[in-house]
Amino acid sequence: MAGVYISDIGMTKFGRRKESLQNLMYEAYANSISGQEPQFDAVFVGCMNPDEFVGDSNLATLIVDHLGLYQKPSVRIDNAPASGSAAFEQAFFSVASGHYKNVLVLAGEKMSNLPTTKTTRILSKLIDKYERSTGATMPALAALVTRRYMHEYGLGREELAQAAVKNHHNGTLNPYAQFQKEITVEEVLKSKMISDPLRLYDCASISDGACAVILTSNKTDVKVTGIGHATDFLSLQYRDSLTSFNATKIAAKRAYEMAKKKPKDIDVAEVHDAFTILEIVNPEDLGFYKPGEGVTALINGKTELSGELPINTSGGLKARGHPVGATGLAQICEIVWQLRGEAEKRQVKANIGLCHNIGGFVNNNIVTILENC
Amino acid sequence: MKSSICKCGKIVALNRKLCPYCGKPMTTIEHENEAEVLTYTTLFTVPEGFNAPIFLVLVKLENGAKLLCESKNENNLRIGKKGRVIFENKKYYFVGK
Repeated sequence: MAGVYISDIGMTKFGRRKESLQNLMYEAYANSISGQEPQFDAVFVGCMNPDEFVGDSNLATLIVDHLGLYQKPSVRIDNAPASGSAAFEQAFFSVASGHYKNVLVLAGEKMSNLPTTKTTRILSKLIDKYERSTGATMPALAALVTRRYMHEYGLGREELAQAAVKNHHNGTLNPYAQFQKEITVEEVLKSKMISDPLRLYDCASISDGACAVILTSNKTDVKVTGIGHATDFLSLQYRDSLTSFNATKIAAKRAYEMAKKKPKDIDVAEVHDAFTILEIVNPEDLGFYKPGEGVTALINGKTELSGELPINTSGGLKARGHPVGATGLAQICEIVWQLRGEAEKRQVKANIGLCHNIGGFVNNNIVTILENC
Repeated sequence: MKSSICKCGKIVALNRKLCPYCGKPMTTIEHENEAEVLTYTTLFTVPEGFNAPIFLVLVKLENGAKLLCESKNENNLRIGKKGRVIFENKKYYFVGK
């Protein structure tokens, strides 16, 4: 298997953007070019639902046409909110196999142009048909998990708010983040109730944005050493546990085995905090903390920038914003910046980083490990 | 109340042709509608086409299968509360004892 390395990366600022999806992807691509225009063999486009969000299908062709990259092979990868990391994964395989030497991965989503009820309906289609027939939404399923976690482990409502406060602080240091302002626990607890006990500030935002990453078989300073991918039941009803997710545990196990690493070897991680409860559960499922101890790690500052294992240095989905198809690749960009020492005010000391991207309601997850070399 | 049972020993709520755990055909069984609340939420921000609020309850049926259903109100909902599941207007509702 050929070694797979990361060369240029770039992203747009996330948030409510006026530009079209293809112009956001162009902006990310243009931001990635550091020297002379790169040459690559194929384009992998991660996007969850351009058909409903912006009314375009055949996005892979639209993008190569728009960027002047016609004739190159191009494919769109939809893997729910793990589309960005899935496009990265497929691009990785294409280089690892030796079939391509250099490939461009683009990932993006434009969501903010629709009314919230319509966006909520589109996102609810990620849920099992019976379960969504009740009106259940992604925040509702997260609320069910939150209440159960509070019951089993004694998690307090104020403690949960700390996840949003921490990630908003990190967001103030990230020029690409949608939200670059501090928030307080009181503000979280006063924000609009979405699905009891989760409030607006417990939920990642509706956002627009795009990212670009070039993978190459030529040695660079960052190598992709592990990728693990696992699925779980679409329906929450079939899961064994309501406070831990097998798709994360199995994907992480596979990534650690491939990279020959253990959870304690990871210096920095981007985890999929679509809801504050996931900032607590994900580090447990990734093996960083024991079940029920994710909250202790959070409130004791172990996961903040100066902590033993900084998590979501970018601000995470909560503060960076969550354009669903772009998120997985935005996590990769953040870890590459951290490994290269280019994360500016939010820089931490790191040689090995991990990304954890969730598709659906925690049922199609991808864990990626990147290392300095 | 109906559930589906598989030779592998797994039981899931309602009718399902193939077992989600092993892929083999499932058999439908009828049983009592006793249930216990595992967790619940009141949903205020609902998708297009629904009216807020929606009281969602995830229950454990007497055979161990889980079912997401609704409640007509949020009164007295708590984890561990016992009750039964009724089918009304094409929806499953949890009614506490």
